[in-house]
Amino acid sequence: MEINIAHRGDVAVVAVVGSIDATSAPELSTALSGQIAAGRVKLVGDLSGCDYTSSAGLRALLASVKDSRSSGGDLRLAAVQKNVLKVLEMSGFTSILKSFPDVDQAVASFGG
Amino acid sequence: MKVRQHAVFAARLEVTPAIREFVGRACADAGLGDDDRFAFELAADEACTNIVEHGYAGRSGGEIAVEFDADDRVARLTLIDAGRPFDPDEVPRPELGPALLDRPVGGLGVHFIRTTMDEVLYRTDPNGNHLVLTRKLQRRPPARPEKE
Repeated sequence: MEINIAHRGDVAVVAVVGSIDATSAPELSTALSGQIAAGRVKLVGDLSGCDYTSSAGLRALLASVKDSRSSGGDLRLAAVQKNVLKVLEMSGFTSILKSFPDVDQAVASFGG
Repeated sequence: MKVRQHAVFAARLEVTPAIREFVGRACADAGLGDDDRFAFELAADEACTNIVEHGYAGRSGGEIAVEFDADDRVARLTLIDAGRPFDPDEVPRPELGPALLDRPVGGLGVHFIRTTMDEVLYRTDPNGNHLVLTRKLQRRPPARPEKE
C-alpha cells in the first residue's frame, strides 16, 4: 500500500493506492491521525486506487472520522471502488461516511 | 470437475496478504467469478488475521494450513491452526451503522465472514482448530469442452 497526501486549500487529500488490511492499516491510521494532530481536520480519503479493504481498514477510517468530527472537521471518501464499497455496505459504514464520485466533489463538499 | 489446492503458511500477520493471494489464485484456477473470489479473499483475510491475533496471540512458530476446493456449485475454504480455539460463533454480532460511532468496534471481521459465506463451521479436535467456510457459487465455472 502507498499513501500520498496532497493539500487543496484547507482540505488534506489522503490517497490510498493498493490494499488495506491488518498489515497496512496502521500506516493509514498514522497518516490520517498525523493530519488531524497537525490541525488539518478536513480530510478526503481518495480511494480511486484502493482495490481492497478488510475490517482493519474500516477501523482505521472509523477512528479518523470520530477524531476529525470531534475537532470540527470530517473524513469524506472519494471514488470508492467496487470491492471496497461492498465492505462499506456490509458494515453500515455507508450511513456514517459521506462518499463522493471523485476527489473534486469531495473537496468541494467542505465548502471551499 | 473438482479442484483442490492446499498450502501451509507461517501464522504471522505479515503473511496474511500471501494467504489472501493464494486463495484468490485458487478461486481463479477453479473458474470462480469476481464476486465469489472477493468473498473468499475477504473471509480468508479476516479469519487468518483472527487466528494470528487471537488464536496464536503473539506466539511464534505457529502455522495455518489452507485448503481450498470447489466444484461447479460450491466452494469451500478450510483453515486449520493449532492456536487457542477461537470460535467465531462466540463473537457477538456487532451493532452496525451509526452505532459504530458511539462504541468500540469489534467483531466486524467475523461479521464479514458470516455475511460472505453460506456456512461457517468450527470444530476443534486433536489435529487442531478447523474453520470450514462454504459458499454457493454465483457463477458456474466455464464448462469443459465435451468429448465427442
